[in-house]
Amino acid sequence: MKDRVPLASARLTAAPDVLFTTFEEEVVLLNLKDGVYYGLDTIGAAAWAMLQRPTSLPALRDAIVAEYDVTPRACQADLERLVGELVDRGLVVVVP
Amino acid sequence: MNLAAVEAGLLLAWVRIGLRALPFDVLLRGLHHYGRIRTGGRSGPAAGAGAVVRAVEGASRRIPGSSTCLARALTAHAMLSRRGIPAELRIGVRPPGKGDLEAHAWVEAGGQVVIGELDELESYRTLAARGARVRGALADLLRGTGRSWKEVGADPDTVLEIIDREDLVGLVRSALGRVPHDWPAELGGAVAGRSREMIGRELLRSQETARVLAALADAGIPGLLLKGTALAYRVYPHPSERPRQDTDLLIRRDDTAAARRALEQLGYRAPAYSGEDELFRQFEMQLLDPMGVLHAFDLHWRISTQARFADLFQFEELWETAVSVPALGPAARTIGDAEALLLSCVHPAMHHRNEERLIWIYDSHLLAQRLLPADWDRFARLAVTRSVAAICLDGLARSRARFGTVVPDAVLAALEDAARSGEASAEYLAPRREWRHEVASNLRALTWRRRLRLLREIAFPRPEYMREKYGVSGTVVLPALYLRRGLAGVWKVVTGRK
Repeated sequence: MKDRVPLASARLTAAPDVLFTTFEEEVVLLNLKDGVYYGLDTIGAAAWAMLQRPTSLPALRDAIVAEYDVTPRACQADLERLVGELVDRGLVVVVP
Repeated sequence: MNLAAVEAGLLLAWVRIGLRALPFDVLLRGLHHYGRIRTGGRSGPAAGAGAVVRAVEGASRRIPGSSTCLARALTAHAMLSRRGIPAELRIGVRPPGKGDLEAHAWVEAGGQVVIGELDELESYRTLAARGARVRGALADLLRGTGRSWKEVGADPDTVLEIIDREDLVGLVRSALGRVPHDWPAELGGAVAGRSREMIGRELLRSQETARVLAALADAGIPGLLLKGTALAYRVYPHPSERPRQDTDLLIRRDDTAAARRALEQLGYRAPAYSGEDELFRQFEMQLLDPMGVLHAFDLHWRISTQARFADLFQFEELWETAVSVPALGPAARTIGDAEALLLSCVHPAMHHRNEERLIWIYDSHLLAQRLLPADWDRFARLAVTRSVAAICLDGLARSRARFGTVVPDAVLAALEDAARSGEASAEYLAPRREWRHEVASNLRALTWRRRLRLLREIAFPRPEYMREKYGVSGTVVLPALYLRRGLAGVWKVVTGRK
């Protein structure tokens, strides 16, 4: 974990073995590798939609700041936490 | 040793293994099929019930290890059903702290408890006995006229149980997000949690269903999705809002052998109780995936297992008006909306003793909302010519009462006219419940953790309880493997042969 690519500069995308669906405004993810499922709320769902193609943290942040009433600084912190967790759980992968 | 005693011994042994080794739904289905194999009993029903109960109690004493109240009740109930003796299996719970057991199973026949009698049986409430008021509140919530929490008149746990039992988890979750309400946040949170779990399972289901349909198409076997799965993907906003145990698929009679082979190649197996049997006009194939999700396909070559309805529709006519279900892949087809509404109205009477489940009524409601004027004409014409107008009228009446479904006056008038002529199928409207649905719905009504506790408590009563009630000194629990390998040994115990 310590020597992984810093997320801030990495190209990121949704892992291939993850099924997902949208229910109301929430996205539910199912990791086929371990059978664990996760729920993402509106902002998380928006990030997940963008992660269907390779993207980066700054690009995610800019898109969300443009759409929602949030400061870039707060959005950056929230996204780092969210994407960090998604990567740790194998739901998002770093594009080599 | 008479035949009933041998039968009771073998069935009880099988039930006990099944309670440990099989998913509960699979065990119930097996017993349901077993109960449908009628015997030509010589004794009258009353004497028959007594003989069955004595046989089960005798077997319970002879077989080593403890037989639980649930194992005995399931065994007695299946044997009574097989003899055509009307009996009801009950599972009741009571508030914790009121004695040994929180859950108990028993069988009633002719208004009497025939097996599983307890001194304080009254303190166990069957889950099915409560909740008419809660069901009303839930129906109102779904139609957008929510009631205040005070009017619901129940605690959150009870309401959650009923939501789960009625298969309304997903629908209630989206309604709570849409309709203004003052229902407790803890209930909303619990419903959302269950819903996510079901969405996760639905993701696996859709993938697997598409795989099966593609394999059948590759083998040149046309199939039509019926009921739950078709409705989930065609008329519900999200497929997880329409829970179901299996996927029903109608195929041509001539394709049954090829369909079985195609499914076997995908790893599917027939459950032990299911033969390709003309009697049932269907066969079942199952696959337990690596995630522990059971995928079950019911392949039908007749629209119904009931002779009265078996020829309601022929495959070819349904195939002509079939529509695609893109979410389940390019091969997925289902029947047209008019035909689907007719089947949805007929289904509870045809297979479920006309049980009134909110989710089935909601099926009809959503389908009816989609129908165009030409579809309504077609629906009315089909209902009249196939002699199911009275049943359809009953189904639409439920939907109108619960969800305010709008049905054209001309359609109602045509159905009423035909119903007055007296249709033979109307006898199916008599309200009866099928036992396994009652049991399954009782268990569904419990949240997962509580259900595990319930099964464990039924399956492993505390030693003190056993001593007190049955004079058994301690519980001997044989490992399941030993029991399985030793089936011949069980036979010896039952028959008394060495």
